[in-house]
Amino acid sequence: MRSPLRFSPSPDSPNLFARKEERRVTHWTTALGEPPATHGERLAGFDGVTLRHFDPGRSKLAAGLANGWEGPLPTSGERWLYLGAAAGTTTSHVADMVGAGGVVYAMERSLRPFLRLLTLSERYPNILPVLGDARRPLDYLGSVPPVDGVYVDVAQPDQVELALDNARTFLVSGGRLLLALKTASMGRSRNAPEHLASATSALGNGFDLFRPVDLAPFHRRHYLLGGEATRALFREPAGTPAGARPTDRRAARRS
Amino acid sequence: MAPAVLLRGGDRLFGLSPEFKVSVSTSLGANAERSAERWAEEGTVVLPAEIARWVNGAGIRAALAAPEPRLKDALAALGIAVVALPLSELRRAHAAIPRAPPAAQRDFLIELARCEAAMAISSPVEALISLAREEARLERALGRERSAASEFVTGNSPALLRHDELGQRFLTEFEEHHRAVSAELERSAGEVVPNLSELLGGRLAAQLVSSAGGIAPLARMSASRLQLLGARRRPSEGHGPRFGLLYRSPRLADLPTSRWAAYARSVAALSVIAARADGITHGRIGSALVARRDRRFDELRRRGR
Ligand SMILES: C[S@@+](CC[C@H](N)C(=O)[O-])C[C@H]1O[C@@H](n2cnc3c(N)ncnc32)[C@H](O)[C@@H]1O
Repeated sequence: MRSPLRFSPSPDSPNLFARKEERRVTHWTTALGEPPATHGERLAGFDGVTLRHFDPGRSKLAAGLANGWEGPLPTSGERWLYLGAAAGTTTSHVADMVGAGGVVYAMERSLRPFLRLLTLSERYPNILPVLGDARRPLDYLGSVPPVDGVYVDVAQPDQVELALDNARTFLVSGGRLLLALKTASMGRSRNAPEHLASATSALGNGFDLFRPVDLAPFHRRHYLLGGEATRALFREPAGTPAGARPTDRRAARRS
Repeated sequence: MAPAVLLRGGDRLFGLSPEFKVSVSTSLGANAERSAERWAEEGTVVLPAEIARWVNGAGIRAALAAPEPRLKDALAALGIAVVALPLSELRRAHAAIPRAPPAAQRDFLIELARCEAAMAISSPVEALISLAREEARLERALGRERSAASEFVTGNSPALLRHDELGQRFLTEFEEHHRAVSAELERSAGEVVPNLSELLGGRLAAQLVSSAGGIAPLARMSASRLQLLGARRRPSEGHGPRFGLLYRSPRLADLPTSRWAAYARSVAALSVIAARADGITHGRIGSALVARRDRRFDELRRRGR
């Protein structure tokens, strides 16, 4: 006979559960939406709540968990800003993790995925959709309050600068950053580990970083990075007001 | 001294004193829906009376910061220049404004998202992109259906023959629908990107716009990048792809394959010029570009393999 399914809550995030299966550990989040499933994922009942499978093949954060990510995670009651929400697959799991007392501000730039995100947020009580360009944080300053965490998954060449800019603008002091780094977006002149090294050194000043996790085999040439903001993050970057740095414009042209 | 700051927090506007105390606050509209419409409206936001009075108040005009671009524009429309806010002060001001409860914030943001999405979809470029994607999807589906139909075995079984007949009828209707969508796509492309359509045909022009995500990104693109738009493989030295969508350039198939890459390079260069005319200068240069394209075609054909 099969032993009963055993889910154990994560010590870092009470709405996140791990389950030991035969050869691997799977992750699950407490479903908040109604109806619960958002993209055809597996569901399971546990202790009177519905859990949704957090699929590492479809989500970089889930892949990070599967590969042993030890850094910060969204947790109950927090506010997160999610950049590059697309249709909201991972976003919905982040929304589960922050729970009914938390909020996820889900930013997306392109219209088509945003329309699906909008439909999702109509049935998810704590997903707040924001249409806009993550390169211009001041455009949505009025829609997004200071947040406990910033999650970045935009797959753009300037993803690191964009993450820093948003973190500087929106993070509360001591807030956290999670960055799904896609090295394939950063050009072919350097290989993936070199891109990772340049990203960690660019972030290293403003954040106490945790050990980055390679997301293979789920997502090749991707890494999950993140950590807690240090005081240095909020120090004035040599005389230029936020959002007006020349890199912003150069990056915008490149895309 | 720090400047006074004008900020939005959801559907409310806040005027903050130089000590970052809220000195005036008012909502953009009577309810979430009205506020969202006001904020999303094209053109300049009209500042509510209380805010306009506060802005005009003594001493404040000397140093006023409004970090959000739309508010900056609204002030510019009143002839008021704003000063930039250093990061630390921006963060303090942002943290100082009170926030509505999450449910009210959500109502406003969902309304705002609806307004902005509706505005974006109603633009001719977005309509063109939607049509281009739909046409591409139909074409793929039609290919699948055609090959399925050609493999269908009937023998002389009446049941299967009847089924085949129904299948043929479906295919004919499907083809008709595809033709109608293609015609609409051609028409729309001719209006939105006339120069590019003249050079490449409406369908290919629309696909380039769709792949770039708009006319502006296409007009900003380098010719080498445009040449590879829609390519499945990645560019890399020596053995990268030579073209993506431009594989379907007019007349390309009439050249020897050894000349395709050279032709695609020229067509890409002309396409960028066409896209700039369509997106920026709005001149009509299509026929001149077609003439240049055809000259290049003749040259390449003469040189043969
Ligand atoms: C890899 S997908 C994100 C997938 C999603 N995070 C998930 O796991 O479900 C990257 C998304 O970022 C969006 N994006 C790219 N550049 C952006 C920008 N500057 N601002 C906002 N979104 C952007 C893209 O439109 C795309 O939907």
